[in-house]
Amino acid sequence: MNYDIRPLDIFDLQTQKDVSRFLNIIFEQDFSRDELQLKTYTKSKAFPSLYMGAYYDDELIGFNCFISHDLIYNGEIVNCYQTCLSSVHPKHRGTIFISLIEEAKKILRQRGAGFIFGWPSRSSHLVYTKSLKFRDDFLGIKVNIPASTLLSRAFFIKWSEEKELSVRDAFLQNDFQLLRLKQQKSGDTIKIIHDENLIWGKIRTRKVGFLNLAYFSVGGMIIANPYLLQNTFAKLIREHAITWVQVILHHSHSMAHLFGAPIHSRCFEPLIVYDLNAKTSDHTKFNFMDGIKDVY
Amino acid sequence: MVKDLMKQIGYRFLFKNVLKEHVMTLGYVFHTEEIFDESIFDNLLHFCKEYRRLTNASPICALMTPLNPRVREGMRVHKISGDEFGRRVRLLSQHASIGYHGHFWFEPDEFRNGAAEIRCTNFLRSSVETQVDEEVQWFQSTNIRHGNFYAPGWWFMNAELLAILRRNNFDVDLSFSKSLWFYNAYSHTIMRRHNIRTGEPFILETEHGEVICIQNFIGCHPTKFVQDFDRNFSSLLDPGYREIIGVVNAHDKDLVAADFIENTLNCLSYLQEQYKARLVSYDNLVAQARCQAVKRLSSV
Repeated sequence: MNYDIRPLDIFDLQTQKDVSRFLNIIFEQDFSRDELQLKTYTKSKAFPSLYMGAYYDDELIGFNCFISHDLIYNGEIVNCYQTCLSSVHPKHRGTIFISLIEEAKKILRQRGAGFIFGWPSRSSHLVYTKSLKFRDDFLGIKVNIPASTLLSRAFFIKWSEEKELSVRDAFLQNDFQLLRLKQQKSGDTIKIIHDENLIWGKIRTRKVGFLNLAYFSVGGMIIANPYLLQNTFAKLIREHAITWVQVILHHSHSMAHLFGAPIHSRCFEPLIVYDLNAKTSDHTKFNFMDGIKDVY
Repeated sequence: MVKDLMKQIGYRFLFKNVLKEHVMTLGYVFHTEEIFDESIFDNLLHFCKEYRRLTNASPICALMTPLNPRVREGMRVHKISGDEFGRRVRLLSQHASIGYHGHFWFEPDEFRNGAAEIRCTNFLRSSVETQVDEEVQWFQSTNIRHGNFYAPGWWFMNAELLAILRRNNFDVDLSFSKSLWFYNAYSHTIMRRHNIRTGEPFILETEHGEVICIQNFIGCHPTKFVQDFDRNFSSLLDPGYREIIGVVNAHDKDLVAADFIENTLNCLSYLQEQYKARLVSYDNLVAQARCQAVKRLSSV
């Protein structure tokens, strides 16, 4: 089989058409021509997002996107990439996907990238962890906070002077960069609550019995003052007609201890990580929340 | 109204003379952010003169420079030139000690975007370093002396910022606070781990030299009840630690609120009379802090 694997220019109109047509077949969705770019192209201080394509007889038969993230680690930018939209045409499934990701690893390592991470679907998860040697990290944790100022109190720990807050040695999702990315696709649907702390996210609905209940899904937060965190959430609850606030974070998130009664989240697939120029381990802190995911 | 009545009754019995055990040496610092607004500038100047009349000391003005994007925008809106801004600062410096007050953003042009604000848990060294270096350059190019002290925007401080400031010759810091309203993760951790008492000055060692840290307490409550200060300040104090040295703070824009100046001066006058508090100028404050600072700690 004669495959050609190469980076794609996502600003090229023909490439945009090819990719959207291909993704529509694979995911049975309705990707418009520029949607991919709006959802995945980040303005990075280092390098932009990377798009890899596999061609067979000049036809696109495999695709993978690597969203460029300027994560922050101890005050410095570490350019890392989120793998997403992994897709191979059913007729060509086999080693081609592995070759495509291996080629991307080479390119990203040369760019000086820290690591590749992602939340693959169940079907591609095994390929990533077994064949591509990604490390399988733990599940996320979830806190559902009722939208009542009084009841919500039980879902926060009581902050006291003995407690400490530190983001030392943690990879922080870059909310400044993420909000730009999410707003370029979703615009006003992204809500921001800002006082001494900042919470951003979107309102979603869930069907419970006959009811469609609205809840606030937190995409990210910047906590500067943990004493006042409850006030920030109270403001969120006051300003939006919602039933609850859903906070999903990676289990190692430095702020996880601020919330009471967390449970493991079934909707937060396991994080996978592949080190390039950075060295991470099972003890590394990833301050990742739901909003960093491409599907958010 | 009800609140006022409750206070009036409560203060007859509670918080009476609660600070009497403490010997207080206080400075008064303004986070000076909006002197591009003529009315704010006039009020600030007026306050400084009144403060001097009352205390025989100068207040402290930690200044956001015209290179700060929020100030730059304010100057544009208020049609203030760089020369006029410099003139105002020089005039202010005749009545107050001038220092530096920093607010930092990931990208300064994004100053309206809350997610771009650098607070205590999303520090980006390159952005902060560039902004500090540029603003220090402004002080030098305009020949305005900044007194080598720093007061923090959004109460943000960490070891890296302290080192950047020290590299730029700032050796006095007014960031650390025990007030929950002025919480900062780094300051809190340093003070907790080293058992720093409220009002205790201490020295932090950075790679570029030492910094004397003088604590920032609370605002000087501009209400008609001077005992508000007693109530709030006493909740921060450590029993048994008597020699309190530090600053109380306000923002220059607070001065436009009705009765702010009158009530604040009342409160300061009350502290002088009731507790013999010493309201001192910057130089005296630093000199006393240096004498009193016993703990010498690593900043990292």
